[in-house]
Amino acid sequence: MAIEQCALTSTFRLQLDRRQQKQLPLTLGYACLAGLSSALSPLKNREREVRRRALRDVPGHERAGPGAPPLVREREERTASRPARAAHFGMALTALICTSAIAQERPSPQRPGISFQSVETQALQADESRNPGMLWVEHGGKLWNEPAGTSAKSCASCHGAAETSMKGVAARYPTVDSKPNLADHNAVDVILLEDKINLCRGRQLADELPDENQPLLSLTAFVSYQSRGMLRSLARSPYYPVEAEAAFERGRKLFHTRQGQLNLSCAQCHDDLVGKKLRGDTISQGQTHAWPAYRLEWQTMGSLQRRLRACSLGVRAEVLDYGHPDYLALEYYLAWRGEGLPMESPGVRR
Amino acid sequence: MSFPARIVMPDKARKGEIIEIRTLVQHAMEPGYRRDNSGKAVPRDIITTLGVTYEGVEVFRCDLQPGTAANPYIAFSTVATTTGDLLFTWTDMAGKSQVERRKLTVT
Repeated sequence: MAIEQCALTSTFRLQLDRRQQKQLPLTLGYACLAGLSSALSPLKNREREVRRRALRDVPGHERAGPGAPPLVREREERTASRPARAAHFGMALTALICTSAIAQERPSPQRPGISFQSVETQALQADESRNPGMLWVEHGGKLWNEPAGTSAKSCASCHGAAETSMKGVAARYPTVDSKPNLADHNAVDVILLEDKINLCRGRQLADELPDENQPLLSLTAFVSYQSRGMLRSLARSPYYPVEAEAAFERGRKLFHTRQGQLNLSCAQCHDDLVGKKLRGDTISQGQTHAWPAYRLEWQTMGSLQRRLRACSLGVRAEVLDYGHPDYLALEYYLAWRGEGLPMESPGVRR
Repeated sequence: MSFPARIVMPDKARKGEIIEIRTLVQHAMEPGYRRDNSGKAVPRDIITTLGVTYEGVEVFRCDLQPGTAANPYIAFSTVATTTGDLLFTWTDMAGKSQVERRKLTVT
């Protein structure tokens, strides 16, 4: 982590000339404020406005703001001694490191995940005759028409042709909806596409498919494929706004929380270092619109949950179970980050 | 069906035309160098051959070796001579084989 911070600091030094360094505390103060205000973004507009007004009333706030009279700024610069300036700089930098991740909530501009891959991988994903993920899609298409469970109904018995009925469905998942289980019949939770398929299997009176099970991956890939090229839509639940907000906040918090032996948060790489290199790979924005995807490292199709587990392993954090509430919330939050991106599944990733 | 395969090729072709045939087959291509969680060696199991006949005449054959990635993609071309069936046969070391048939209409 020390290396990370050094790298960040030196980047700053390189980028800033002396004059800018003098103004840095002011700029950083503004950045912190921006961070604060964007941290409130999930709140309703009215609440946000109230808080912004309250902030404006804080004494001394105007002085540090961008609208401060130039005279005041100059005097501050002249009177501040060198060590004081250095301390100011250090504090402000720490503040920036803490808030920078939150400051840029949704990546802007958003870039599709495939754009970070090599030209060869891009070609592999685009060409459906070569894309290995199509094997799972094709298998899923067969399962769609196969009767399952004691009801002897297939997916097609209720939903008809997936080409029309499932068009755009994957682009709306994950969502927050009622998710009855044995312990609580009225439970409300994040529902992934995989969960939805399993809920449907309950109606078919068929056994639930276990996580990372080939038929489940195939069905998910098949349903996701029907949304290929469609834009990811807002993944907020209209029926359970409170639960949805809670899941979103949990995911957002997790994304910005440092974890593991490497003490890294998702945001430190996928917000702050996008486009830079990490072990021969280009750091992406961490978009999830291509999943389930065929990962060349795995040599097989995998779910987003599996990918998140690999991320946890990568920062040497605890690898959580499939379907852990943290991963569910994170998936929910990540979908929001990728809103408006074209769905790529079956994606191909390194 | 032993392992799913995907073949992309034209349905129709003119006589004498060169057509491209793309095949993709789902197979783990276990190289035999890996161990499972209990430390036991996982036996090698790879697809060894893909043979293609066109109206009974062999038009393509290839041998695969350990080190080939899973789900091998193989593309080749052939000359459309007569209307008939192409027979694709993948055989792996476990003795399983997968046969797919595609019809090509030559005009």
